[in-house]
Amino acid sequence: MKGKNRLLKVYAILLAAFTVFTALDTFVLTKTYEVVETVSEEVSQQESYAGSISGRRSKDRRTASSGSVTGQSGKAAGTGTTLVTEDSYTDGNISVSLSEYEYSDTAVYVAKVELSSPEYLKTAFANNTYGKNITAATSDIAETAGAILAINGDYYGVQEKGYVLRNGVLYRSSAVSGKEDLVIYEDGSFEIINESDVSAEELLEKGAVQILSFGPALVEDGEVSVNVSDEVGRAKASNSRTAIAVTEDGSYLFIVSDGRTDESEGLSLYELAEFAKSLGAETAYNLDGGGSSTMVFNGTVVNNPTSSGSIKERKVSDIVYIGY
Amino acid sequence: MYMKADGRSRAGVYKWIRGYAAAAAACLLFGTVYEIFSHGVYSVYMLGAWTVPCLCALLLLAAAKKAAILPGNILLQLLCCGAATLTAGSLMKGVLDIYGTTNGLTVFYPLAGGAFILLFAALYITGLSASKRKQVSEVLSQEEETNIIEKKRKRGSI
Repeated sequence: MKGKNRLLKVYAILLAAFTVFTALDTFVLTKTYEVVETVSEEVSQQESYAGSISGRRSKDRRTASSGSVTGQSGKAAGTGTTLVTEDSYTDGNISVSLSEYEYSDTAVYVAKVELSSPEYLKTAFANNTYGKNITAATSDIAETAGAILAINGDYYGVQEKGYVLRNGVLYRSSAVSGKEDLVIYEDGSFEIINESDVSAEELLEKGAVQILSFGPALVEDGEVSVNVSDEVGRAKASNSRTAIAVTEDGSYLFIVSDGRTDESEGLSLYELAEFAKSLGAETAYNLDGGGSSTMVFNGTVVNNPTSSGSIKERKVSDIVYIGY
Repeated sequence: MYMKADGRSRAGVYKWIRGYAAAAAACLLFGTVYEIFSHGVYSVYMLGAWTVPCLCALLLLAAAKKAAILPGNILLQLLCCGAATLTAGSLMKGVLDIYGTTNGLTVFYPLAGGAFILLFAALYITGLSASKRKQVSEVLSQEEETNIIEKKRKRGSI
């Protein structure tokens, strides 16, 4: 066969080159579609604020510090006293209390959030850029955004379709048939929609400010909406998970579970849904999990994210956060 | 483009069959190892990539056993290009599935792979049909010749 198979040899080289290019295009090559405009003054003020919190925590994690934060104005936490402890944050507008649970041999971290206005529930992109393969660690995005509390988002960057609406700006409106999304409206209410049933433009007109496209919905109308056998694609039954929920009284729950370790087995979607329901969730939605699952509170990673077999943060496309 | 099914051509086809069998085994091993380290996330494309070279091996084995003519080197290369494209596409789709992502470029693999396989199938089936027609016409002409000889014999001209 030597020397005779020229067609095959040339084609094999072309096929290998194409395959390498496809792999690079999927995982490495970055494409910037849009740079998000930031409100520089507020964000920079908040960055210094987050930095000061982070500094306080690193010095004395157990000591509650109080007193107004200097150098802030307007909405930036300037209303009254700011009280920060290792597991709580309170100012005039935002209240966050962090709890750790042991559920089904899994460490689960829950942040209960109460807001004076839903405008403090926000999302942010890695490097403030909407694009492909543009990623950063949840803690880095949180720091840039000046987040008090943050969890990883839906990792929109690895999907070519699915709605992306963030902070009132529609970035992607191509629907994925049958995809369940979480819509967060201006008034802070949650709704689960199916991308087959409603367009992103219609949702924007209805007052949607955030659309998260991962899923599935865990709890709807106070009832668990997944089956025992439901999983994300072909994901492992027990895994690290991230979820966001709203309760009947209007407070939000940010839930992150550890997984993939001997110490913390991980949760199935059904277990996560049951857990969220037990905390009073009226609507709960599953976000990107596995190695992406990360919760950051006051500049510190709260959980134990597992990436590539070790405890470290995986870079993600976006976060959901509480901040000014 | 075609080879008469004799001992030498069959030996050549068996070399290709061994190559396909090795490729199928390699795909099965790669897919299994990849799945072990994928945190329980599985993809039918990753697990099933070995089936393409396996089917090609079986197809050639059947041809080597039964067919009167065998695909020649050009046709065997066409089949291999198709099989390689489909197998690479299956593995790539498996990797993307397990990572939880998609890429529109992967549509190339089934299109190109399918085109190669269809071209191979069309050319080989044409060759088989032609070979059959040739055999039939050879048989018919032989029968015709025999009839003429018989007629002549009856008339006493032979």
